[in-house]
Amino acid sequence: MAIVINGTEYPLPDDPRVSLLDLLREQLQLTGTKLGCNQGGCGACTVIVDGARVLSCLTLAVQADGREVRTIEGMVAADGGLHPLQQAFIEHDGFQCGYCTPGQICSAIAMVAEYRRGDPSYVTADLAEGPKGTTRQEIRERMSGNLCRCGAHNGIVDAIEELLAGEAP
Amino acid sequence: MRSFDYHCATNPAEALSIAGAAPARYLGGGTNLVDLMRQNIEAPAALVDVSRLPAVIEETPNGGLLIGAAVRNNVVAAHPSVRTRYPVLSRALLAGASAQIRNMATVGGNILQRTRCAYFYDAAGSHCNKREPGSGCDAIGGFNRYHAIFGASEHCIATHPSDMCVALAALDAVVHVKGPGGERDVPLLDLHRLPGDRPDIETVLQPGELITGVALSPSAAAAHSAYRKVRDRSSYAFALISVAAGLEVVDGRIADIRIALGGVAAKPWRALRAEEMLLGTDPAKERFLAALDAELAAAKTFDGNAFKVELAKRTVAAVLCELAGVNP
Amino acid sequence: MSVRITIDGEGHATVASAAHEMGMGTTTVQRQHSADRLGLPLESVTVKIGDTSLPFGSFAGGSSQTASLGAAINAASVKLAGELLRMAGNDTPLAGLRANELEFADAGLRKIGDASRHESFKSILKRAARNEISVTGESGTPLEMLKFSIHSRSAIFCELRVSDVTGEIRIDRLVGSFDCGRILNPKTAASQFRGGMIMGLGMALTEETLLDERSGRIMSASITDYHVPVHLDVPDIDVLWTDIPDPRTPMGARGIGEIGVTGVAAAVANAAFNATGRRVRELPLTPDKFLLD
Ligand SMILES: Cc1cc2nc3c(=O)[nH]c(=O)nc-3n(C[C@H](O)[C@H](O)[C@H](O)COP(=O)(O)OP(=O)(O)OC[C@H]3O[C@@H](n4cnc5c(N)ncnc54)[C@H](O)[C@@H]3O)c2cc1C
Ligand code: FES
Ligand code: FES
Repeated sequence: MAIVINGTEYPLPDDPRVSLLDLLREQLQLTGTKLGCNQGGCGACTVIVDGARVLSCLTLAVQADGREVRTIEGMVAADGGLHPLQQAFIEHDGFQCGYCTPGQICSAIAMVAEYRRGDPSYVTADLAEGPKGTTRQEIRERMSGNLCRCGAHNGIVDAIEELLAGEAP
Repeated sequence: MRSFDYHCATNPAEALSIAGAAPARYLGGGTNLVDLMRQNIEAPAALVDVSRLPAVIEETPNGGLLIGAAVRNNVVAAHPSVRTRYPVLSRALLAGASAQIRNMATVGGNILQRTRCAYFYDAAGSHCNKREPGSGCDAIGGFNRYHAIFGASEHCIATHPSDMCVALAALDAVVHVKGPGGERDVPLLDLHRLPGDRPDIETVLQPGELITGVALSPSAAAAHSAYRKVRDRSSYAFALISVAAGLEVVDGRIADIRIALGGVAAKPWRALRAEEMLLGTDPAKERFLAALDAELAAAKTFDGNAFKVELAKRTVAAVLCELAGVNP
Repeated sequence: MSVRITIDGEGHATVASAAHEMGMGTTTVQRQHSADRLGLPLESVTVKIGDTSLPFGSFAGGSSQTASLGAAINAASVKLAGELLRMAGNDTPLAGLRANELEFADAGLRKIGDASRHESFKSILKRAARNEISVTGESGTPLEMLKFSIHSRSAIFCELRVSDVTGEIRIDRLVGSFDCGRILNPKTAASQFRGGMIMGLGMALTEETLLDERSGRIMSASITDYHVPVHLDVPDIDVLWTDIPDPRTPMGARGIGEIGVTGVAAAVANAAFNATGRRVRELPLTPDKFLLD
């Protein structure tokens, strides 16, 4: 039983009660991922498992057996510097205290892939057709699972809009 | 969280046999069960992970769809056949929770998720007959803004919180179940129980029974359907009320109509009386409102949720007007 | 509030206080302020906060931390100039000047407005054979605060829609105009204003503490039940400000931390009244209160 985190393989905990979040933070000292509510209500603990954004607080670590996990520690640009979205967060002041930021960034990176794939959201007018262009309302609805108590929402949406406007990888 | 044994099943037979050997609970995405275990509201001795059972959406011989129980909510919502032939289901799923939770949540788990009544959740300080049979119901006489107006009892007024199930109720979905005693089909409308004097027993499923899939039949009303959810926050919030509806109009007359309400009962509520009154008539707002008045006459409200009657009436009428293309 | 300024042999300044940062931009703003004040480039200033072993700092609250920390830095810098002058002795271009004739410039001290009478921190410390110089300055409640009532002001504008079916409110636009004295850093200030206004939106629309009086239990105690605004609740928010320095406050700045919150709920309720003719005075403005006849 093993799990790959940011390209490195780790053994899984023996105790099935350990959440993926606790494995990351308490056992592997990967403290970039944050614990907000521990009950699925805030999105601070968002990580990407096999390409899909999920909540690490409600994922039992054993359930991630054999899967590939990407956390904020793994979000780096090709040259080893900041990921373009991290850079955009800085430019648009997409955070104040920064507590929700790792979750916002992981969530947004996976969200951009969903968007480009043409997945609909609750605010997509025509479900069969999928989202048309990129609107701020679409970004907002899709990012609504990540709370921000400081109120950095405008900057976060600006940063994601910039990422969406860029070239698809 | 109490300790438990964890097993991961690769096929339904294996899941059933492990679950048969120990008193176990099935685990889907864990978005509800893990939370409840952490709150010590549930404490199963063993978990059988069924989230890795084959998760496929297949065409059925009658032209419908069979959706595997392990398929994740977002996968159902984004599936092209669901979006075109069952838009109400896609929209209902997209109305629920958040993208992260929908990526985790399975169809089976969504059906069996438990109420979000705050008194049910408050194990440390509130009475709840669902959590602790016989202890009383603090929602009665307490905060009951989110609570039931149909089918409640003096023992429990909680609602079933699922959005997906409201759409499934409107679609006459059939739930496929495998148990120690064999396989059976349960119409979704019959799966959840009203509380009566045993609010802790929430469905007709027997211990150890596994949901394997949900079958949808094709229909014109299913293809011409919509979902609307009313909530306190614009997203990432449970419904105050929600409406799933489908409509088929032939030669100016309603040939098929489906109306289901969420947030009003311990199960998705099919508005059969209103449907019956509207079938065969020509669609008009006044008629919709009159049919809903008849349906909602049976509602029993509390201090906090009396507004739901008016809200449900208007929201259903608005959705039907939109589907019928008549003046709202 | 106390601040210690230390300048080392390389001319680098460390500004330390047991103040704290919750995202308001305390570190950024005080670093900029100190660099300005001490005539240093930004790279030559380090701000240390968030540790109780540092000189006493008061709490971040009452929209007062930035201003009182700034005042303590000013007090410490006045002391620093005096001590550096003493340390410089007679063998310096500064010889013969009094402390009140000095200003900080070009990583050192000079006669006010006279670049020819300048000596760098580095050179003063070197001649005195010192590795560093350290002074502590304090700020109390400024005398002005006792004499005058000094407050920030704002005007909030809101554009919204109310559903005539469900009573749900959606905010389309929010504008805040602020009079808070001098704005020290436009980027962090704009974020503070917007953040405050979003808290105001929560107060207006969704946030509510439910106390069950029978049991004393709070029934909206979790983040799932207590609704703070989500992305979809938050429109584009414009903020503008007067930027008129307040002659009676240190740095000309007044508090900006809480002013963003205060007017929003009233603006939203007024806009909803304007849209519907219904005057609702109880927050939050949930859909049931706007089920219109
Ligand atoms: C913050 C938050 C907000 C939410 N908001 C919404 C919302 O707005 N609308 C909404 O509809 N839902 C909402 N949800 C609930 C969410 O949809 C459910 O938690 C989810 O659908 C449950 O699916 P799961 O696979 O994670 O189930 P689990 O948590 O894994 O399981 C739930 C139950 O189902 C049983 N089970 C699972 N699979 C099977 C099977 N195949 N056969 C038999 N039994 C099975 C388990 O034993 C357990 O009792 C929200 C949840 C959270 C945490
Ligand atoms: S910590 Fe996981 S959702 Fe809040
Ligand atoms: S930046 Fe503080 S919570 Fe988002």
